[in-house]
Amino acid sequence: MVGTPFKMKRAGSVTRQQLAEMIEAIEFRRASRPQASVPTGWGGTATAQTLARGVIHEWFGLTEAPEHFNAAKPRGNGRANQWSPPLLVLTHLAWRALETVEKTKERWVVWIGRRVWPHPRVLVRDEHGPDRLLLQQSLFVDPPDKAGRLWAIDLALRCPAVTAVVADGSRLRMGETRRVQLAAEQGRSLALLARPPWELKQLSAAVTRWHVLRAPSPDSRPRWMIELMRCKGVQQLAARKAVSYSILEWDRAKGRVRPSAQVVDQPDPATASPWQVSHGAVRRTG
Amino acid sequence: MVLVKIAAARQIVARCCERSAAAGVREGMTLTHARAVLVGTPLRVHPYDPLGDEAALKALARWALRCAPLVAPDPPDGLLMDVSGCRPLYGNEQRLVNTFADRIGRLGFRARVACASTFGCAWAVARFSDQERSVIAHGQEHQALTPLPIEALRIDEDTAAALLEVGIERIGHLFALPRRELVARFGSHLLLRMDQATGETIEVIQPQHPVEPPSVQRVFDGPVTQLEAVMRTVRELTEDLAGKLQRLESGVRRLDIVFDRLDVAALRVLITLSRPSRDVKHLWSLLKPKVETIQMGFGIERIALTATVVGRLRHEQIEQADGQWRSSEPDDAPADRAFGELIDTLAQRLGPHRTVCVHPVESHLPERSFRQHSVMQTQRPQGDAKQITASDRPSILLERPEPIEVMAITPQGPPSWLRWRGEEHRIVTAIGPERIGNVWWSPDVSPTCHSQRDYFKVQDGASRWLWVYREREAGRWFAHGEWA
Repeated sequence: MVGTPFKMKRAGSVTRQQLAEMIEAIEFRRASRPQASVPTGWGGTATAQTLARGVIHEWFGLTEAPEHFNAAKPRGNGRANQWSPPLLVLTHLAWRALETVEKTKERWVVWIGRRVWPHPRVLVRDEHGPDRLLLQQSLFVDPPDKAGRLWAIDLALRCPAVTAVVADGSRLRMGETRRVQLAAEQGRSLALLARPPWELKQLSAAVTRWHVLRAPSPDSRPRWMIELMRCKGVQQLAARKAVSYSILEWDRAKGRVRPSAQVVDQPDPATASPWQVSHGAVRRTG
Repeated sequence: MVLVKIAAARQIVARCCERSAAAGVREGMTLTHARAVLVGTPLRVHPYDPLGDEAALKALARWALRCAPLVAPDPPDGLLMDVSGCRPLYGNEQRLVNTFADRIGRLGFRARVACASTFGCAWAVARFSDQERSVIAHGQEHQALTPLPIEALRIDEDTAAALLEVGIERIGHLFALPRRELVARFGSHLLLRMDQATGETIEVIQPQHPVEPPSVQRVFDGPVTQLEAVMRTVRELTEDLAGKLQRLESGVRRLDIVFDRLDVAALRVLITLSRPSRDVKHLWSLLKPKVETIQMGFGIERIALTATVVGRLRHEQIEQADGQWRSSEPDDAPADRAFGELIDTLAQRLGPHRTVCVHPVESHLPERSFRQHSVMQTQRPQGDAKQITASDRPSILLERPEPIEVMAITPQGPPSWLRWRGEEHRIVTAIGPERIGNVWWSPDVSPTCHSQRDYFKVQDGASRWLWVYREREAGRWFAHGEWA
């Protein structure tokens, strides 16, 4: 006997949520299986609360020279090309991805590109005693060139045993990000690409794009200001809301990046975006 | 070098090298005592691994099958070989002994070899004779054994102590005593060992049986120059090999493919897998890129696939429970299999050393506290992950500390200004110092690691957190990491 994969339902039995998922599936030409999401633990708007699996999330990192943020590509010597991916934020998201899967299912985190390999000590946290799960479940891949990097990202995203892929996404073009997006849709992983800030203006198939800026810290905890630059229809309701900045800080003991409890000095108005800090979240003023 | 084991919360020397033994180190001694004996001499200490030693001895016994038809491991450190019928191959026993000792010496072992008509006599002479290579002619066993100590009879410590107590130190003393009295006072085991050594009683060994690795091959009628035919043949041979492996309930870990070519040397292709597999699709995905690029020369006459290393891969059972058919394999098996295929594919294309895991190393130095190892290694490096706790370390650790220029208000204090990579940084927050001591006890560490370091976590005016340190002796400053 041949079974039918889909069963017709009476119109009255479809809930609004199911209807939204069906429309979303038609819009994005993918299976009606709802994509699971990873809670970020950051609060704020719904967009910042969760990151969907099966789509690309781009994280634009930190550079040594702030004037390069708005440049198409920094000029000058090799030093100007140096940038740092927001590794602590990405590590936090890898932990969250690992926490939200069943123990027997996909449970590996693949770090592709030597630039996004964090110091292994950061992968150990103190959660009722030392927790080394992320360290033990991490695979580090060092492709020699961009083609190898793209191939490794594609392969890792399609693997059903991988829960998160953190990759160096620098110098990827629009067509290449489309390939990565297709691979991400095939799998169920959380796809995180770290990119340099001068690639912000480049086209990409990423669903969300986040910009990370350093923020002053009055104590020993490094702080960052994250800005959602783009959110492409994953959560339509949230996308219509005003996007916001959040100020996050690194909690070393817990191994988490969490919203800062204390809002500190304003950034320099000359270099800051037209946003205003208010109760841990920042709203646009102009 | 010494191997230590833990007994009653103390580190006890289980084995030691010849140099340590010559300096006075003995088995059963505490490690502290051994260090005191070897004061001034660098000492390497490794954990004693009896199971690993036993496995290595079995592997050596399998290797020795190329010299003798029957070889049995004799734990903890010996091999018993039955060389009956091998004399015509070597000419005489002395040449056989020399050949074997030279061959095993090339593997890095220093062996004492003796050849006799009984295992007991050969065991005794190999261990207690003055010569490293000995041959005892048939009928000369009594003469060879007479001057040797009684421990050469493979008797237990209590019996040896009882014999020494009554002044019997040599085997020759035992030969002079009446057998009936020996049984009455020291038991029948002593007499059995004497008879085994002299050949009065037959001794049976449990030899290692050679295992032929699963292999399939195809011989062509003539040299084949078409790549499509070669690829199709390799694919079919892979399916045949998978069938053989299924009957053996095993999977391949290392696959060796030999292409015999006309008039030129054979071509060998090797693939290694991270875990056993007999999945044809997966094996072919690894083989195909390599087969596509082979140089066929004037044509290929024969293709052979051999699973040189195999591992146990259990059959999957289908069982019925609560009216539902389900697989008996564990729930995490599909995920494990998928991940194994992922790392096999990554390692085949990028190379095994570009696909790594990280394991902790016992070191306070940040750059030496972790080591990368290839995921294709069959044995994971030893490392105590329990020693690794959460601590305030930067997310980016530079491969090598980079020198920086620093201005500090006090000589021992934190920097107030620094220049790194040509850029100036005004320091607004500094936390520290955290002192990390030198590793004076390790001979392997470079001289730069022999200095104490005072680490500071500093924040510059652009809110960038850096990890810098000052060498206490030289006073030089370095940048070592960043919280990003």
